[in-house]
Amino acid sequence: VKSPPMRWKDFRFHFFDRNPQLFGAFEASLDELQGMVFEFSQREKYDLTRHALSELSNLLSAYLVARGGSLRVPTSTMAMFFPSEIGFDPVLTRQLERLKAHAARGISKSDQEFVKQVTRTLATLSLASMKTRSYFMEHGENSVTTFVSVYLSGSIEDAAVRKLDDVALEGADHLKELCQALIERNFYISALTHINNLERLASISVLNRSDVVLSAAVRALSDCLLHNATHARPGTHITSHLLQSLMLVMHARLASPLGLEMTKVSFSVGPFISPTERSSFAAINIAMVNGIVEMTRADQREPLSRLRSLYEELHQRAWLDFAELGVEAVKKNSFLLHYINSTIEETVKANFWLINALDLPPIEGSGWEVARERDRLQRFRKEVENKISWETTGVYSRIIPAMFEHRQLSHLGDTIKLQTLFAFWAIRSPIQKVAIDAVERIFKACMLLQDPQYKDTYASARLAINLAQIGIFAIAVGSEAIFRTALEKYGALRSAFVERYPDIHFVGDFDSAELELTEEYSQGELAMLDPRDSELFSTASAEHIHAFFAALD
Amino acid sequence: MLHIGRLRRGFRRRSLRLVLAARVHLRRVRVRLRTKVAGSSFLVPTMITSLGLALMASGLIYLKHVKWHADSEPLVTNGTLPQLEIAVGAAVLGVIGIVFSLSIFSVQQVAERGTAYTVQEYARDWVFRITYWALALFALAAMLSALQKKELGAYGIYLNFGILLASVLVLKIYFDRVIKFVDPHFTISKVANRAKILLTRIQKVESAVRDEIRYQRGRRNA
Repeated sequence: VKSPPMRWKDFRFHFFDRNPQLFGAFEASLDELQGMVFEFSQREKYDLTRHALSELSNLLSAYLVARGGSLRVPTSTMAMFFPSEIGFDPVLTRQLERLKAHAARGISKSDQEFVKQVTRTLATLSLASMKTRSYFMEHGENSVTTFVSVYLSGSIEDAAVRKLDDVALEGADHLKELCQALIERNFYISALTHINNLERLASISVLNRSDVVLSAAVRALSDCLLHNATHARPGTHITSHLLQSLMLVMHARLASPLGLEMTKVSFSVGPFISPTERSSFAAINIAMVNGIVEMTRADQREPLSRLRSLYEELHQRAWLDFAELGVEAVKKNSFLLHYINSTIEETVKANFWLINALDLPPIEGSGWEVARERDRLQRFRKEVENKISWETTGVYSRIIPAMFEHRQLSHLGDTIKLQTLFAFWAIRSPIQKVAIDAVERIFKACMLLQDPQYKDTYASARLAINLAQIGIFAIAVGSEAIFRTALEKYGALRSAFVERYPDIHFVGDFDSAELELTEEYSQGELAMLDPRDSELFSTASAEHIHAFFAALD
Repeated sequence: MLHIGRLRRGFRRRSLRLVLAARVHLRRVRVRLRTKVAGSSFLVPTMITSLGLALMASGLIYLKHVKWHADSEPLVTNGTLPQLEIAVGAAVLGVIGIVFSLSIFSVQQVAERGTAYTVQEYARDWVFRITYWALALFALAAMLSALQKKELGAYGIYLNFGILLASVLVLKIYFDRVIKFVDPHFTISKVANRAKILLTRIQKVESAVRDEIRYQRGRRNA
């Protein structure tokens, strides 16, 4: 039997593999440049080291491109199952080892400028390596990039461990750029490796108590999340992996002895948790929601399907992660809870807006494609409702009880206000269950507050006004069921309070609630500064306020 | 129409095969020539020497047929011109001595500012080699011109003035080169350029191998 002729790709690989002497002279020149880098770095002549390193980077990039498809670099699967049988490309390995040695020498001398130059070279090389492929290919992975970038991340981590913050800061940017490029080219296995590297860098910075580096690493991870939302394909698990890494980092930072006070939050984990940041969770969600609505209106089904999947992946576990983080923040009495509240507020607000925006007239036409799209739209709306339910009830049914359990009530007022806002939005949408759950949570919290062990006699009555506001809003919108529930709970709270403290009267008690709300309403635009009051008074009037308290009597 | 299309495709296939065969044969000739030239270490010097001898012989034959310039004859007769020519030759030798002695300082400078690789590059540089050999040749030519017949005196003057001018030019080139070498950036670029050329050569080898395989396969299939 005549064997088939060898393919050019295989022949080329074997040709180069069995004739390493072909590259002898080229490698000698590279070695000369490496030697120059060594000598000049010893004398701290940085312009010369930069020049030599840039020439090295250009030459190695050209080498990688020239050897595209014939490089001996095993894939991660091969490296896992046959670690000792398959070698790596000798020229590339030797050069990378020398670069690593330069970085190690620079780190040991705390020579930040030189280490930055070496890491920059490795970063350029990693980006250039994406233009080439190994002889051994695997779906979703560029083994050459993975191989080169191991040296990059290793050097950055070593520098971060030695507290070379400048290198770590620049390194975080390099890793981010690399990760974004990998996401764009759909090398998701390699991208996951880089997410781990960034997470490790963030952990090192937490251990080193360096918030500056932590902020850079968190920003890098958040930017990757945003980039993934705009460029990636669904089903790659990059979103969930990124979220998991970010949550782990935040848990670690929360556990740090440095503490997470008001100013420290925005300068450490702020890039992800502060809604004003461009790549925060809330901002990414808003961008995604806008995209979904635009695509739905334009009836662009393919990108819409991609965005919907990414949206579901983003929200899949986020509620539980935020709940766990919130409970931890309560335990530590950290200001992080304020940021979590803001993030959830923005997220839920965007989700309610999405539900309303998706309330479009049914798609006209016949055929299986139209029917499928109609069904998908309905299912997606249902899914968004579920997410809202989890991100309100799921999160706060854990956080509010934790506040009482650990007796950390400093953020309770704001949290209860947020529940009222959720109830308003839910009444308008309408998702009754969310509103009723919010009423239940406020009621339970106010009831618990009446217990003398919390040493706040007035708080229960003052916070109960939120229930009255929900009832008034329900009257204004015409939601009878929620009005009845709010009325019942408010009445029960008032009775319990009067029974427990019959002779106590103060500003904001149950007797003065109506007057207080009417006065606030009469203030007009001044009351509109607060989002909750703005929502209430733009819908309800003095008659509605009066109607609620009249029904109570 | 179908027939014309088939004919066109056939013609195109044949022409491509011919171009490929021509390229392969041409490359084979070049490679053979290159390996033979590079293989024999005596071939290049022998060629240069024989070329020099041929030039000298033709020059002598030419001089024999040229008439004497009347004005230069007395200068040759009373020994002024040969003395001048010897002096020029000696001066050029002096220049060689001074230039290459001073080079030691520049080498030292380079060694201090650069690395061992910089000195290697310095020693390997073709401009320095050519400068040395050019000056040596000038000195030899000036000395030899002193031994000429009196009828060729005018040519001796032309030659010596030419040597002086060429020496100035060569020294300028040499000076510029030394200045470049003092800057280590130049050495780095030089090494990098050499590496780029080497990489291009590897790519050429690769394309030659690919063409060879395609050609052999095409022949086997035919």
